[in-house]
This record gives sequence, C-alpha cells and structure tokens, in this order.
Amino acid sequence: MSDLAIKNRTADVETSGYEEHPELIQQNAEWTDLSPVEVKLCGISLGLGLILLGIFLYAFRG
Amino acid sequence: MTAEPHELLVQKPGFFRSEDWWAVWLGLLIVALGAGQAAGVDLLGWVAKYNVWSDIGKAVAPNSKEFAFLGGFGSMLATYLFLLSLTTAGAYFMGSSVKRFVAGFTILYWVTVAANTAGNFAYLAATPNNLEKFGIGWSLGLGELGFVIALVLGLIIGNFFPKTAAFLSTATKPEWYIKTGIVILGMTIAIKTVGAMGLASTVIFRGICAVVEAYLIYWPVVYIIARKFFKFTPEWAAPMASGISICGVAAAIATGSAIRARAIVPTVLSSVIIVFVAVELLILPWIATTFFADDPLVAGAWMGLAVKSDGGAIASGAITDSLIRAKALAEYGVNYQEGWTLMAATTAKVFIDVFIGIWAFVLAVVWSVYQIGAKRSEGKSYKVSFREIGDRFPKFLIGFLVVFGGVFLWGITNPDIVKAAGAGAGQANLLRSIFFGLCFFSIGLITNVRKLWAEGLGRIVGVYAIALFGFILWVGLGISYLFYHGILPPVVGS
Repeated sequence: MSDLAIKNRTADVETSGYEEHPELIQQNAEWTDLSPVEVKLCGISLGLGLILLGIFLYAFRG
Repeated sequence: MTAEPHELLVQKPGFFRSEDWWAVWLGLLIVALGAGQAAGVDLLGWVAKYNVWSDIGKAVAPNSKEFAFLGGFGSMLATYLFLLSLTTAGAYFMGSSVKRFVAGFTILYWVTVAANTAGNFAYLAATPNNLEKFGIGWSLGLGELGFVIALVLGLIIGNFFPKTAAFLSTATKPEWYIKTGIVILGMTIAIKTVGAMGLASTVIFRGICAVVEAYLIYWPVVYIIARKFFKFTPEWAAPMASGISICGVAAAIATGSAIRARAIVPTVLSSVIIVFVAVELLILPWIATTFFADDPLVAGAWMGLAVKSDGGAIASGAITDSLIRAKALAEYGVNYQEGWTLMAATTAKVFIDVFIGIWAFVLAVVWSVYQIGAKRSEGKSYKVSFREIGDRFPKFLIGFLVVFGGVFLWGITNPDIVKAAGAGAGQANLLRSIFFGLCFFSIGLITNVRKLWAEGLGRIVGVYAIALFGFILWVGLGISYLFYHGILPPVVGS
C-alpha cells in the first residue's frame, strides 16, 4: 500500500464519525502486508496442526 | 481516552505479592484442611452447604452433622469470616487497601450467597426424581443456577451502577478467585483420577492433544484475519491472535511481553476480551446442553477450548456440568456423576495455560530473530529472556499440579484413605464453589459494555466477532467432538 493510500485510509477512519482508539489510528500508518516470515510461521503452525490432527485421530480410532 | 492496565500487567513479583501465588497459598491451605478427613479430623465441617430447597429454612446448613449447632446462618457466617480473613491477608500483602477490600469482599460474599441460595430454589433447580421430596409438581430442572444469577447481578451493577462497581473494585478480583478455585479443584480431580484411572487419564491425555490441536489451528487463522483483512500491525495482531484464539487476557499479555509490544496493546485488548467472555458465558453452556446432553465431555472440552479466560472457561464448565446432569437425568434417566464435565473443561484450560508459555517463547524467538514489526522497534533485535517468560508463567498452575500430583500419589499408595480424602475434597469443594461464585459476580462487575464502545474498539471487536463466531467456536467444537465423542462420565451408583 502506498503512503498516499495509507494517508487516505487513515483520513477515512478519522473523518468517518467513528472515533477509534488513538493507538489504533497510529498503527494504521505503520501497517504493511504480511512478511514471508509471518506467512511461513502461520503455514507451519497450521500445517503442524492438521498433521497432528490426523495422527491423533488415527491413534484414538476405535 | 485511556485504558487502565489489566491487573496481570501490574502484578508484583514475589511469593506474597502476586495474585497467582496467593491463589496457591489459599488453595493449598484449604486442601490441607480438607485432607484432615483422611486423618479422622473434621476441620471443614462448619463450611456452609447449599441445598436445593422449597423450605428456605433448609437452604443452607453446615456440611457436617457435628457442626449442626451452628445452623444455616451460623455456617454462612463462619464461612464468611474464614474466607474474609484469608483473602484480606492476601489483599494486605498485595498492597490493596484493607478497609476497602473488607467492605467490598463483604458485599461480594453476601451477594454470592444470596445468588447461590436463589439458584437452588426447587422450582428452578430440582431434578425430576426429586420433585416429590420437595413437595412440588414441576421444576425447570436447570440445576444450580447460582453462578448465572451472580453473573447477571454483576453485569447489572457493572453497567448501570458504575459508582457501586467502583466501590467494590478493590475486592473485584475474578482471576484470583477462580485461580484459588482451580487449585482446590486439583484435589477433586485427583480423587476422581484415583477412582476411575482409565477414564480420567483418557480425559487428561485427550485434553492435552485437543489443546495443542486447537492452538496450532486457531492462532494462524486469527493472526491472518487481523493482519490481512483488518490491517493490524504485527504488534497488535500477535497478542490479538493469542488472546482471541484461545487463552484470553493472560495470553494477550504473555504474547505482548514476548514480542515487546507496548503495554497499551494487551490493555486495550483485555477490555474487549472480557466483554466477549461474559457473552460466551451467558450463551454457550445452554447451547452445549441443548445439543450435547448425551455427550457431556464433548460439551465440557468445548467450554475449555472456546471461552477465553480461566474464569470464564471454568465457570462455563461448571454451569454446563450442572445443566447437563439435570437434563440427562430428566430426559434419559441417566444420573451422571458430578464434576466430569467440569473436569474436561478444566483439563483443557490448564493445559492451555501451560501452552501459553511455550507459544510465547516461540513467538519471542521468531520476533527477535526475524525482527517482525522492526520498523517500530527501529530494527534492533533483542535477547529473549527466559526469566521474563518464566515471570509470566501462571503460578497457580504449580499449585494445581502440586495438589493434583500430591493427592493422586497419596491415594494410589494408600487406597484406604481414598474414601475419607474424597469426603475432604467434597468439603473443600464447597469453598471452591464460593470462590467460583465470587468470580462470576466479579466478571459481571468488570464487564463494562459501554466503556467498550466509548473507547472506539470497533475493529478489534470485528476481528473478535468474525474469528469467534465464524471459526473458533466451530473448530473447537469439532476438535472436542472428535476427541471426546462417546466417552461418558461414570453414572451415580454404578
């Protein structure tokens, strides 16, 4: 997201009549998309969860 | 627009200055007194026991005939003085104003007592097999509703009488009360484990598996929702994912600490989490009872996996336990033993709390090594402190594990004492029940819905609502069903 888009987005929030917590408004300007490390962390967590689910269900069968 | 820091953020270190440790001390003392039964000494016989009643004169009585001379009011008063002295000592060492605590606790205690008594009114609580005994023709058969009444009273005061809630705030300590209750609960669970080793070990082992499962699946999904769709930075999204996905305020704080988020982040999140916990507490036990009265452990584990605080989860488990036993008896004629549904919820919650520490450590390493959100922290990596994570470890779990392990080993090596120790656990449970009631009332008191809107937390509420109602509840239910379906509690008299 470009700086201009972030500014516009922040301005939208500030002028929409919906008053956000100040720390939340501040963090809007710092937002960037998910980094590869975050994607990897989420992928590993989810993948491990699903693999373990299969193992547990196999172990508990019957 | 400022948010007050959550009590867990301002906890003082030391064995006599933190709520967690005081939960351990109070719990251990009460368990030790209950264990006196095994030595033939009745040290808790004076504790008030609340009965289902149609004649108010029979609503409360000392639990032991040896103390019958106290009468109902005398036993309530003795229980009040005992709990007041213990909790006031704790409040003093934790730095609270003693006068304000005594005044607040007194009101909390007697309101809880009134709620317990009202919840046991036969027309509300009597099971179908007992209608004749109470001389009534019908009953809603809802089990013991005292906890729910306490919660609703707390919500009313917290939201419509803010000055009263503020006056009570020194004694409004839901986490302390529930943690003390959980330590005491360790004795009952240990006795149950000795008495039904195969079933109890199954419940415990599957509980561990369910927690690992739920956490690994919940967390990344909530994190992605917060980051990708609600545009939160990692500093906000990680504590939010931990808090919303499974473990509530404690997890948000532990994660915030692990990734070096500003203190305001878990503080703001905690005000949202608390409100959702109250909503879940009011709704989920009834849904679970409606659909899983024939599968109580599924319902119990679901409460443990779905409700996001120690207090809320255990409280939901207690309500569900009561409701399901009443419904199973009314509809199927099956009288399940008390406490197994609660045990499934407690097991899940206890292992979740253990898992918080592990997960916070993983996040601390990842955030430190890869400098996630480095823009805010100026790109500097930081050293992961084991001590800091250790400081955040919920100490009451040590109390629970000591009680559970100690009583379990005692019972296994001395089968002769199991019956007497079980009676002692029953007496300690009466005090545990009061702590739970105090927790319910306190949860209601601190749940200020208007404050939530005043602080403009709509986006956090959005993440929470979507994650909880669109995903977490159903995945948690699915995991509970897959792991616990068909495993039934023992039946009374079998």
